Amino acid sequence: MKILSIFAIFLCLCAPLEVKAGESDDKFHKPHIPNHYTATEIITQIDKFNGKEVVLRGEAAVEPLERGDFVWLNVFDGSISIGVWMKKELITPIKFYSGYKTRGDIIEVVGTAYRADPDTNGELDIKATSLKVIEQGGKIPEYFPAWKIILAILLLGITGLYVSRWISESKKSRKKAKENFELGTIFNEDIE
Amino acid sequence: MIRKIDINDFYLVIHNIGQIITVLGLTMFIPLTVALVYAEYSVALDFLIGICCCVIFGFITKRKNKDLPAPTMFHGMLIAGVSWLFACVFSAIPYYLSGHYLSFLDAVFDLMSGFTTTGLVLIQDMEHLSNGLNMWRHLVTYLGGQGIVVLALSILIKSTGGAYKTMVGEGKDEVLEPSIRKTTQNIWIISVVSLVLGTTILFVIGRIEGLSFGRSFLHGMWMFMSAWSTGGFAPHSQNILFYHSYMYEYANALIMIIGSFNFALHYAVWKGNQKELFKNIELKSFIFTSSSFVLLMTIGFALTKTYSTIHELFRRGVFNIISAHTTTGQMTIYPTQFANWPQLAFSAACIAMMIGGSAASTAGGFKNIRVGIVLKGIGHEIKKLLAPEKAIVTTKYHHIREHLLEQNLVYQAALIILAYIVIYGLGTILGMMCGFPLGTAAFESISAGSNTGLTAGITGASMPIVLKVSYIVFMWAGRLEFMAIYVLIGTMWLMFGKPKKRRKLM
Repeated sequence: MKILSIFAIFLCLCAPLEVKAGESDDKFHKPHIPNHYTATEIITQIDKFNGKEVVLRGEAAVEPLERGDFVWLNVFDGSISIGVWMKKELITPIKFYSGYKTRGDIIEVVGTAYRADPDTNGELDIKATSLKVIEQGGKIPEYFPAWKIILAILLLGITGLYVSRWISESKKSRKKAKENFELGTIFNEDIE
Repeated sequence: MIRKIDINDFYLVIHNIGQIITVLGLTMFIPLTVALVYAEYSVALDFLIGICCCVIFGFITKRKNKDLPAPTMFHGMLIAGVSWLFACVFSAIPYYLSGHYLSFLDAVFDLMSGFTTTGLVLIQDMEHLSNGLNMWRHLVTYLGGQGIVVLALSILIKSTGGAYKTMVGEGKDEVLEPSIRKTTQNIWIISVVSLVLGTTILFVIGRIEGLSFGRSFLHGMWMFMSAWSTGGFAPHSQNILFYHSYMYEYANALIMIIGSFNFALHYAVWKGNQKELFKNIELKSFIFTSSSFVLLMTIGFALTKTYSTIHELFRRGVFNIISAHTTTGQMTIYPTQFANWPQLAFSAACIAMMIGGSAASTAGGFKNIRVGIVLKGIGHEIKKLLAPEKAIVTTKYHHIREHLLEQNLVYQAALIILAYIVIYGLGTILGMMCGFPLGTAAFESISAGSNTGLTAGITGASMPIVLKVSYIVFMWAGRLEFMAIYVLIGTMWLMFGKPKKRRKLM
């Protein structure tokens, strides 16, 4: 059983992978379209963009954070997000935000980039003037590969065998200890 | 005289490691439950596989207690050192199966970063992480901060022999109570009570700042775990910048400062000894060094006129200096912005990371107490030189109680500081060999070795494998403060190094 267990763990470590991250990277890190920038491009070249109007494209991330009549919306490019400060009404066309089960809408934001925005206590951000949805997001179905289910059943079976053996051994040793204790009591009584 | 190693030593070590891994596997029930609550069934399956692997490993390595020798300090060091490696490999299973990593090495890197409370990440596509996986990421940091051996000891105290010795191997040599069980339990009581309080505070701030109810709670708990254990993880790619909230940042700064203090100090205050706060050498040392770094950073920013108001300076400068000094690694700026910091501020952040927080805490680096002891040692030598030849000069320092400064203590503290400097230097050279500039390479190396987790842009899934592996080793060595690693290297040398003196297993 030990060999089987080691094999199962080894199998688990060598299991084939479907890297969702890779897919996501491909989606956003495609060849640069003139005048459209990703969050990474704006952050890494902020000296070039500081105080200038930029067009940011990316996925609407997680959920907007409301601050009175304004909101903070984080826009994700597959590796990092950038904060965009805008009026609340601008986010109304957005239907989906990124999450484990959802792919957020791909949006295009026009605004001014700041290296250290004085209005937001020196944050590197974008102040948006307009927003439009380029591509609507949607639900991401959960994926259950067959090998993963088989592996889980196999491992669960082996664990069950070990646990049942451990329980029966524990019972036996408790019984033995009890018998020894009783024998010891009888022996002591005999001596007395 | 060098000790002999036989098969029973091996059995004892592997038996204890198996027990620790079993406990760790059982803790995966927490993220498994979260995954089920949020109907993330694929994630739940990953955790089920992880739990089974850990439990099976525990059974395979199980030996009957009566067959095992009595544990010594040597065994304790070995158990602590090796169990961290095993813990990273087994805990990485759900990470790897999640599909958010490009390789198993990347998953192990993030696990080592989590357990050692470093905070460097190679994870991909963070804005699509499940709640179950995020729970595990932050729980790993929280468990790592308290010490995974401490966790196992508090549960398995009857079956794990040499408890104190194993705990020392993990860098937790403060004994709060005469009994080790009581000590480990106290560490957990302090941490759990703080978790409840901290989560509540961050939950309220989260609600004020526009987070939904469920997210406020989960993020509050995760960000507390991250700050308290001086880990630096966050559920989103922008780290704490995601919240765009000064309240969230100030609350986290306070939590990370408290989290970086010695457990013995927490316990003394917990027991009503508030005076300790004004006398403790570590606290004094922390206040002195952090004020100096903030001053340096302020001068640096003032010269370049980067930030124009005090509030900007606090949120973008002081927060990151505190994060560096407590070795937390939460960031209010983007990684590439660090590389563009003024030289003076950049150097202040580097030195702050090097020194780190308090000994026997969740923080990394040299530790304040060692800096305090070495400085006192220098002062002692100067006093000796100035005093008449026949005079007996003594120096004392206060840490929970008065201690006499002994030469051996200064020597040990200096030796560990030297070991840290060696890994910082080695990492810098490796970074430069991989083509990175000196400043960035040094920053990243110090960040990994001191378990800080701030990044100037090197750390990422695309970084060279040699850097990934070396940072894993640096994080591990830095967290265990080298002793356990030395013992492990010595054991390897005894087993495989010198053929003539090799002790055969069996």
